[in-house]
Amino acid sequence: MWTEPFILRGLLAAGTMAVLAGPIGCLMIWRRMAYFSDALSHSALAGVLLGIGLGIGQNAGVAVIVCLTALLLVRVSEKFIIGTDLLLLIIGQTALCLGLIGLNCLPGIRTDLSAYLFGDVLSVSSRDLFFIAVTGSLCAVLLFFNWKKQIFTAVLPDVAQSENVSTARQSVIFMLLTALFVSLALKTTGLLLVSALLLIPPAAARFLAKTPEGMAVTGSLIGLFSVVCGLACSVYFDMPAAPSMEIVCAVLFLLCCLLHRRHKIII
Amino acid sequence: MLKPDTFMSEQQQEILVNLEDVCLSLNHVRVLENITFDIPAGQIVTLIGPNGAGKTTLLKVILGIVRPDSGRVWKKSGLKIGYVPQKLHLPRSIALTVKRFLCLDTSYDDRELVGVLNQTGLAPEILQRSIHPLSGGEMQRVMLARTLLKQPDLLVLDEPVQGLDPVGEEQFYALLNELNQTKKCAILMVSHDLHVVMAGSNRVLCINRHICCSGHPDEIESLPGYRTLYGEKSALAVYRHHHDHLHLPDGSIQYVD
Repeated sequence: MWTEPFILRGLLAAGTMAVLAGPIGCLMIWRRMAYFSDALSHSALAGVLLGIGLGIGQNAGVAVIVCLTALLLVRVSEKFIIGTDLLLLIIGQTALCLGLIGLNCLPGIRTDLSAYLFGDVLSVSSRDLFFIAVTGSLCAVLLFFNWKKQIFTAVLPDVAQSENVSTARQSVIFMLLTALFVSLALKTTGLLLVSALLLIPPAAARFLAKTPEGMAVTGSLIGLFSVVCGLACSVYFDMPAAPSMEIVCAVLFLLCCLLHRRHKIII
Repeated sequence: MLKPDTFMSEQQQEILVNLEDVCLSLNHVRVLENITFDIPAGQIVTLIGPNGAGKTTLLKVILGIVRPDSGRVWKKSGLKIGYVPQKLHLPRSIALTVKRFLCLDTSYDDRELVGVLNQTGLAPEILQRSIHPLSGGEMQRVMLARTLLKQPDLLVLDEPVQGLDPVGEEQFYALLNELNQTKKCAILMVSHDLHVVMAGSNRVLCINRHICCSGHPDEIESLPGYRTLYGEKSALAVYRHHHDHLHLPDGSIQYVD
């Protein structure tokens, strides 16, 4: 059963997503920007429209729109008077509604809305996999060369700036990482569940790890385990894949939480 | 008003940082006005002044965190600055040991780490502990240890003993003095502990958006005919110096003689 090509493709797509979710989700949590991926993923539907409209393919359209939204958010997020969280909510929901209306207005496009909202990991095509490989490698390269600086700017932004680490540059890199992640994860998770699968594994890892790197790796492992379990649920019991993965993540989170309390590890 | 450099020490000293006519507005409010001064090598320069006087902002301008609207900030080429900010907001969501914190951007071997811990009066066992439950005093020492790893020529500290008990406070200042003496490390700090400031600094700059007055602690105390910035009946007997001008509530300055 597991050797069926469509399951292997799904496993590859979801696995890549889970591995990257470890470090990227950590950075997002440390920067206290958990809402950020929501706003980005909600703008993805508009990207689907753009991709279809321009004929460059849905994946490319999503990547373009999400990256643009991210770069736009770099400019406004810090100084916004009503608070970044609220701004992200407004932008995200508006983008989602624009996408929904747009999808409705375009005649002749047969869309499966629930696949966009909740993902359809078992329908990942070879072209999707190629896209995931490209964006995933980009993420890996950005992470590899900026990991320490990213942590430095998340923990001590002013000190980093005073030691000639450009915090503005690191912010852009962080936003791009998130945008690339969102566009590669969409096929697996759908736009409503991106944040959950990005953030819950590293959040659970916080209870087990002692160092930032440990937290990122543990996050990736928890993510991988959830992805495999979720996919198994989907294959054997015909349950929706992404929601199953989320449930496994949540259960693991709860377990880590309890384990942490039992050992009274001081945070 | 006194010229800022009136009280420079006589012997020619190497200048680490030079500010010239630095002006800055934030949200249309003038925060810094025509700030001109030097930080000579090996000296302790202290900034004093009321809340909102622009002390922290001035530090940030020197550190390159905030860019001034006009004026010039010159630093000796290759100058290494260690910065200990006023308040750390470490995200509690990050799993972080003291060791990893000290190696945030550059890795050091254990020998170097234990070396700076010794200097700052911390036990080596602290390396394996999580950073989050540290006390205020321990945290300040860890921050200082982190900057010492960079072997800075200039230490910039923003109210370094805030939140420390009197004993911790005294120890921390003693530590700074020792670093200044043994490592010839210049220190620029913001402080409200006027007794320490007056006793330990080579130079005091009194700031309220502009440099109200500056000089050696002894001289600044004896400057005649000046009104105090903090109000006439300051409980701190050592802080007797007066100013030649008043800061009115609307932000304007009235000169008196």
